[in-house]
Amino acid sequence: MQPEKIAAYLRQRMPDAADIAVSNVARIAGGASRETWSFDASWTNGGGRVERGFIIRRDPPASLLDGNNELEFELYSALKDSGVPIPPVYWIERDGAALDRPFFVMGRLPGATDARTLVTSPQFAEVRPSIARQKAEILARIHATDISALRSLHRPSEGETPADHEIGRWEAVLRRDALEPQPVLEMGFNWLKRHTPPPPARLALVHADYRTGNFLYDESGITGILDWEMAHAGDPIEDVGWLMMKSWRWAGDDRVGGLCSRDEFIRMYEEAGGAKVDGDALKFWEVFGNVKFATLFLTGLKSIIEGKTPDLLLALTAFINPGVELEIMELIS
Amino acid sequence: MRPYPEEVLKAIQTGIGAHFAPELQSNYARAQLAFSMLLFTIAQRDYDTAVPDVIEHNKELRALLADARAALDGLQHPEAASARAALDALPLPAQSLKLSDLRGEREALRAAVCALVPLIEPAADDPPLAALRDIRSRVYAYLTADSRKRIVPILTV
Repeated sequence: MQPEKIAAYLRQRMPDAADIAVSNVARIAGGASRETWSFDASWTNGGGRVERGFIIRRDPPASLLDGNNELEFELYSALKDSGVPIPPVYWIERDGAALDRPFFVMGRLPGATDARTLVTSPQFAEVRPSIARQKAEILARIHATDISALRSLHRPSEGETPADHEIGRWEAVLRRDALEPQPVLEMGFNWLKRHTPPPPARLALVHADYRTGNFLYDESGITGILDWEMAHAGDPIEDVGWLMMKSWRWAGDDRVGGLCSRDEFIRMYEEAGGAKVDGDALKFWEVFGNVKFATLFLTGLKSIIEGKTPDLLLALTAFINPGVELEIMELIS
Repeated sequence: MRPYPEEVLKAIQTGIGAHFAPELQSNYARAQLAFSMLLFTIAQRDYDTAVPDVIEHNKELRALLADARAALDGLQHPEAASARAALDALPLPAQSLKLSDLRGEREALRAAVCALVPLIEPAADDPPLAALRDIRSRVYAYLTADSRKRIVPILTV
């Protein structure tokens, strides 16, 4: 992505800004569903020089997800004053005129996302307990969000439970994208259909990828919640099940997200006003999370095998699936 | 004839590391290079044993499915007829050692396991399916062992 093109775009969007300069344009590695680019911009406005860091989230040629820029943009806007740490969002472009593909622009928050550093580095030893608590409290806040005005949010149909809806949604992805028979995932879906929990008391905003590794942190704690592209209206315990998954236990032991025990997390989440966590429902959503995770990688694999994307991460992530399959078999046996 | 294909892969991997890696400027490009290095390593690891691995897989799974077919005899269940039909329609073992033929056989066998899922997944706690509990345990053990064999340690928490 060329700095000149970004500068030209900013000139359109900020007609009062003079001498716009763009520098340090860099694609951020990781993130298999949308391109993320970081850049610095400076300009003169009202006599003073302004400098700011930005992030561009741009649609990729192909990805793990059929993403929806509109949804992420709408969520960041709606959560602005909710107490959920999110970056400020500025503009959304629904066509590729400015930068080849649709994108939106948001502010760059301080902090890092690397999960292993957070859970293993002595630098963060002191702040880890408070990050675990913040993680639970922020999740409770997300689940308390009023979703009635969120037009882009995917919802279950009338009379359909969130569990049935999510099973149907991801089973359709499996049917569409699997390049070969997937007996473990078929077992998983069959188990899920036989163990669906009752619907929640009310539909909640589900982040759907809430985990260590998807938030920004520094020595002060969590500075931003990222990666909202799978967010939807559903059962809040879906998020709790997802963050419990073995794939995110970065410390290599039983601590969820490498930060605290399951019981501790549930207690902190409930104390913060989160939904009551039922053990059977939690198990359902943890199995579901693993099945969905493995299914996502089938989509990525299909994209790269069919030449829709050159992103080698999508070839590599397919090799994560055997470990996820083992976890599914362990959970449903 | 040398170089063997896995040696070619190794040479390409080494060449990319020597000639392209030092030229890369961005973290993103370096990450893509690291991914490609891992993929080269995985491809080389699997190359030599690919044929015997699939032959062994198919042999083991075919024997398991034969036992499953026997266990289905006489089972009264809405899903039983289609499961029996799927197992009766299994193709003969591959007639060549070409990977594509062996993989085709493997896919047919794994599809047959999928056809059994509505019967064997609930067998542990559904009394009318009690006759399938032993075969269920064996299929689960097989799938677990198969997943374990395919694990790439560096990618697993």
